Amino acid sequence: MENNVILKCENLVKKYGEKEAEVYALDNVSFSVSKGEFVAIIGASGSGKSTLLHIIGGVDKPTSGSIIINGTDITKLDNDKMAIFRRKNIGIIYQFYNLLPILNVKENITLPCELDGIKPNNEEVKELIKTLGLEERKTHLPNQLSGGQQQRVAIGRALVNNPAIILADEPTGNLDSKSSEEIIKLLKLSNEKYKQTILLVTHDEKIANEAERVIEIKDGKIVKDEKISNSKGK
Amino acid sequence: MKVIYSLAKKNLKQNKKRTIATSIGIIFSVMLICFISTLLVSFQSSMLTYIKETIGNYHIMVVNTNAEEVELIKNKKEQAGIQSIAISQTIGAADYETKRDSKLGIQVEAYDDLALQNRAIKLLEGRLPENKNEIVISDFLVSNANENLTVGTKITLNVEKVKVSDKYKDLLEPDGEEKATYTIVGISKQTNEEAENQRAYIAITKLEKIEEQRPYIITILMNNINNADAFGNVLQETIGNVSVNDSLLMWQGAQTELMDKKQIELLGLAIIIVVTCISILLIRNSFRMSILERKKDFGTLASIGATSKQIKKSVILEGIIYACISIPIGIILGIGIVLIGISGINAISVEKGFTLQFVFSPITILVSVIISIITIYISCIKPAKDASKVAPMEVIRQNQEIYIKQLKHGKIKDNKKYKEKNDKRKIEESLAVKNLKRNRKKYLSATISIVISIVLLIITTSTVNYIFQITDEMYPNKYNIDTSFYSDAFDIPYKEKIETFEQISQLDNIEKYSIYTFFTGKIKRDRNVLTNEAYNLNCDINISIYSAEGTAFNKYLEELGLNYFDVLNKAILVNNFKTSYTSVEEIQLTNLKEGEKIQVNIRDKDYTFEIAKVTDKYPEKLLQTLDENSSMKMTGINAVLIIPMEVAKTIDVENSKIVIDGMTNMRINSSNPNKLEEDIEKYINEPKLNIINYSKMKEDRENMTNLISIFAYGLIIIIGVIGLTNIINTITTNINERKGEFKILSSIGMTSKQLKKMLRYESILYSIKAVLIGVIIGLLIAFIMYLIFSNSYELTFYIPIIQIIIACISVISVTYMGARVKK
Ligand SMILES: Nc1ncnc2c1ncn2[C@@H]1O[C@H](COP(=O)(O)OP(=O)(O)O)[C@@H](O)[C@H]1O
Ligand SMILES: [Mg+2]
Repeated sequence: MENNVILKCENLVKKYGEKEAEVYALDNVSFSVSKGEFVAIIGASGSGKSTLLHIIGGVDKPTSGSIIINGTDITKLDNDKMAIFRRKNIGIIYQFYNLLPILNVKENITLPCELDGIKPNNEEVKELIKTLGLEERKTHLPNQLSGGQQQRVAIGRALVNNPAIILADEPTGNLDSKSSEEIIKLLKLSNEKYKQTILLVTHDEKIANEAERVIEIKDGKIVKDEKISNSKGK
Repeated sequence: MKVIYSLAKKNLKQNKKRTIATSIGIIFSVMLICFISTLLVSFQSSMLTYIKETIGNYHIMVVNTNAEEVELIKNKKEQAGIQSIAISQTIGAADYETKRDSKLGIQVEAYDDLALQNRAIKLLEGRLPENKNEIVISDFLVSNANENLTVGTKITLNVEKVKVSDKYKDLLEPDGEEKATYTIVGISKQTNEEAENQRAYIAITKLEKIEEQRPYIITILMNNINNADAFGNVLQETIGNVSVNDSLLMWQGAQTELMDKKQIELLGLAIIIVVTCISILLIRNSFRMSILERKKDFGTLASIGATSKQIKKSVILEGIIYACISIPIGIILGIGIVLIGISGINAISVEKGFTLQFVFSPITILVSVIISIITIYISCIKPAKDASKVAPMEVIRQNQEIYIKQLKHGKIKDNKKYKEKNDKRKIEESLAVKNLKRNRKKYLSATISIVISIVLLIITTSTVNYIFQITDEMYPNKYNIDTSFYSDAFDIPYKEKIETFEQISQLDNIEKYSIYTFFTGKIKRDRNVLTNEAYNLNCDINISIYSAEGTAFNKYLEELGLNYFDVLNKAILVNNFKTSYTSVEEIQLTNLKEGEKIQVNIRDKDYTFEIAKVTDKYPEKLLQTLDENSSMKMTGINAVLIIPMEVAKTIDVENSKIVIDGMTNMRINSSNPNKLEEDIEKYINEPKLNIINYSKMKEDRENMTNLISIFAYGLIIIIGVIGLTNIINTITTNINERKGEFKILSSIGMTSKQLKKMLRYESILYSIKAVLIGVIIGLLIAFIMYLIFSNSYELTFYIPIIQIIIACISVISVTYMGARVKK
């Protein structure tokens, strides 16, 4: 079990502001995630979910504490090393998709590989696009797609490098319920099919219940961390 | 790497408008830099050719030297760094009668190969001599010869040879006579040597064998041009008769005191620097905006793992793509414009014999390319760094917070304020003003580019206007042809000169003319002739004798109530004169009456003239001939005697030692000056007649000014266009950035009409501001220029109102149209 740990957070603290304006977005958060786990992080708005995810994704730095992903303490990496680490090991999915408008669907998906200087495996990419249901949209530009489709592209981009962990920050927050369902299905599928480790931030209980484990945050602290048995997997 | 390149390329394709605008900016600046540097190089090389053809290709010339000294110089060859020494020798001279009395014969000069090459022999026909029996003569000799001399003609000359005296090196002694037959193999333009030689024509033959006793002329080319001056001085001190070819040295780039070349280079450099700075400003702004617009993309790239290096590279790659497309086009256009400009300048032909040749210089092109690359690099390096510094967090947060932020700092408060105050201003206006204040920095470079174009526009139009004003002032407006004899026309008798003018007066296309000539003479101190006052001055009295013919003279006669026949063979005496320039008081010269005779001593000969009229009326207008508006005022220091041209012709000045030529001239107001000039050259055919065609000079100058102003206007228009595209870019970027804000505005009830209005107000307000700043700065500089110019010229201050209005209208209308939102 221990050697299966892919992410380990220890005593994470994130403080904003000084003195009276001091806000603890994260207050001594510790937890670990094993390979292949599908974890949902829930909490009220402003509880610190996004902050946690950003820090794990290395786009933000904690005030103190450490994050070990696949054996690397990412808090010790500088920006460029972090970027390289990120494109190899972390896939991030945002609420607002953040696709490059000048690249088409396929190009957006393969971008992390290209940045890494690796020729993406055509078969694998084809398969991935098929899985995402974007076969007919391969050459479309993001502004020609619906929100749900764009989010699927973003998922594809997060998956393409076969990262150690996928971080998704309210990926359905901007979508209608039907599209949301599809997105969650996709995430679950990748969790099952590719054994992807997924950290999903949401404030939707229903969505959280799709996960195998739910961590609840309140005022920057973990208040609940439990496995859900009704999920299909285990 | 590949993905970065395709990102850069795709991004350029995506923003076609901006890409094209930026490319035009770069192309234009490359074009300009290439144009200026190529023109400079071409001009320099043309000047070199011109100098080599007119003066000669040498650094130092030593004339009247002898074998001993030549040996001395040859021995210094290594030590002084002499590249080559060209030698010519005077063989001797032969009598040869031509139409020209002053030239007594033909002097035969023998040139060695190098001298034939380097000594400015401009062949019009035939070839250079290849042996000692072949000669080249000048076109001047051909036109003055009594026989028909052409290429192939043989002439036999009785050459009296010369040798350098053993005692004095400057003295030549006869060295026997030899009858020689020469074949004319070439006809050249008159050489400087012949023009300067007062007694003989010059025939150039080949120096086959050096004869040590004959006088030498040597010309030296130095290895190091910077040593030429010093070595020239050394030779002058030790040998003498040395001249240094300063203009060749200057145009070859030696350090000399002559400044022409440096000034031209400095001007070119200044323009290049200004152009480069403007280009950097514009290109950088374009990059900056492009990066600003894509900030989110850079953040996204960073968040999915692009390193800052990769992002920087992608932006720099865009610059490289721009460079690859724009620089070759710019270079080609630049060279094209040089070619057009050169043919334009040659068509105007500022100086006779000078043609501007195009010189393709790879080094210049390389320098232009390097300057352009540096320009582009400087323009994109900072934006590239900015792009690479975009933190992923910024993007993520921006997305989440944009609405909140806008609401916080936003417009709702303003809306309330507006209602509370019940201001006359509409909401759109007040929002526009507030936005401008908020976006001041973003609009800065667009503002600067408008300001620069307007300032340049005003400066250029003012300068052009002043140059035209100065041109107008510089040339006489009452006459347009001024003919006189060159100062070396000693050989033409005075009488002939006047007759030449009289012949000219018979030609067509002359509206008014005036021939005038001038001597000084003396009136002997004689109590019977002079008044008491004049007699008491205790000396002979100087008297100026003017002679005139033509329109102005007739007018003068008319003023005195005389006609032509009244003064036939007589003189008019202006009887009062001042003793000095400063004296106010005028003295009466004589008590002589009309009909009496006055005796004047001119060049030691006494002449007696019958006085037709005694007057106090100073013949100012006559002296200014046709130029009534001339600022030159005759002070009347001397007594004046005016005689008709017929009388003047009888005065014998031919053998006088004093040169009076140059004081004989003819001014003509012609209805067709160019035709007249042609006719004079054709019918009068007098090579020593100097014809100044002011009308053509003025035309040339105006053409030159126009050519330069077309170039300058081209520059302004393109800078202006880039400035305008810059504004549109700024506006669209700004609109894109503020989409969220617009959503809020419309959500709180602003109609899209109102939104458009707001944007228009915004654009117009700030373009008016930019135009105003530009106009004020431009007029200020124009006024300072006016103050500087008006020190030396009489000018009226000029405000280019029409140009300013056109500029304002185009700026405002373009910004008005630029401020469009789709949804
Ligand atoms: N850049 C920031 N500066 C100051 N406070 C911040 C910043 N980012 C987040 N916070 C604060 O940190 C807390 C957690 O925010 P966040 O992680 O975005 O919450 P969630 O995603 O759970 O809604 C909030 O109280 C928020 O106001
Ligand atoms: Mg959040």
